[in-house]
Amino acid sequence: MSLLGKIGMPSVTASSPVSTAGNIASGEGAGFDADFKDVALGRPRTVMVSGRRRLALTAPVEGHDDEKMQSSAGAEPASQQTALAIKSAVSRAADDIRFVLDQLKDPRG
Amino acid sequence: MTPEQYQYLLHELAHVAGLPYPLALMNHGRLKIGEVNAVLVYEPQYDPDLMQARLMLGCVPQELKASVMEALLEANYFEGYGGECVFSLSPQSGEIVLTMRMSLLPSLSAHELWQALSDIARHGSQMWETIMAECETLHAGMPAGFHDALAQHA
Repeated sequence: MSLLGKIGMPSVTASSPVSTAGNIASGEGAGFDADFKDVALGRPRTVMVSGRRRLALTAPVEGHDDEKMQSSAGAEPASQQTALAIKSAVSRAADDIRFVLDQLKDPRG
Repeated sequence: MTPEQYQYLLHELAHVAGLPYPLALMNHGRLKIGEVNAVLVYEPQYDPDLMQARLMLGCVPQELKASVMEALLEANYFEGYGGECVFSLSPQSGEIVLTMRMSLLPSLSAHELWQALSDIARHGSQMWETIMAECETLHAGMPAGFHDALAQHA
């Protein structure tokens, strides 16, 4: 069984449609190389894939239920939604900036 | 990179960026990228192949301070590896500062540097716009008269 199989199918968000959940699950053709310890522990992990595209992987959190999360989102206080939006914006910007810096270090990539 | 090569890089950068006051960059490392004020710091005695770029993003609205600070610290945890991209707070101005380490490879051209700085400034600006938009949304959700009451107590 692959490492991904052991930790369960991660939910995948792609900054560009370079890959699919299918080839991440199989690991074939994606050309990525990453240490999935963080993913297994429920921490997001950015990995580099061929063509220098990135995927943010997160493992399912125990007890997490997407439908419940979606239905309860509307009941969140505005301040919590604001905090989530800010975290998302900062995280996205930091990730994009790291990508620019990586390109600067290795423009051929 | 020698200090002379770095000075030449700055000279070229001022030309590529079309800076109206190239001496501010040449002498003090200051430049404006779009709407973002930036400072390039080079200390060859520390590391001749390292440059730090500091982007001043703006002052955090008081009502969002806790949320923004928490988000920035978390981003430092995940993306600050090696100090390549770190958020901090200027003690003088209270502005959020984005500091980046950039390797001064001999092959680095002014065009590449300007492109990278422009891209980074754009990402930083987008992040800041989101924060300010959230601030406006928060204000819009306040009850009528709240801001007047707040101003009276200020």
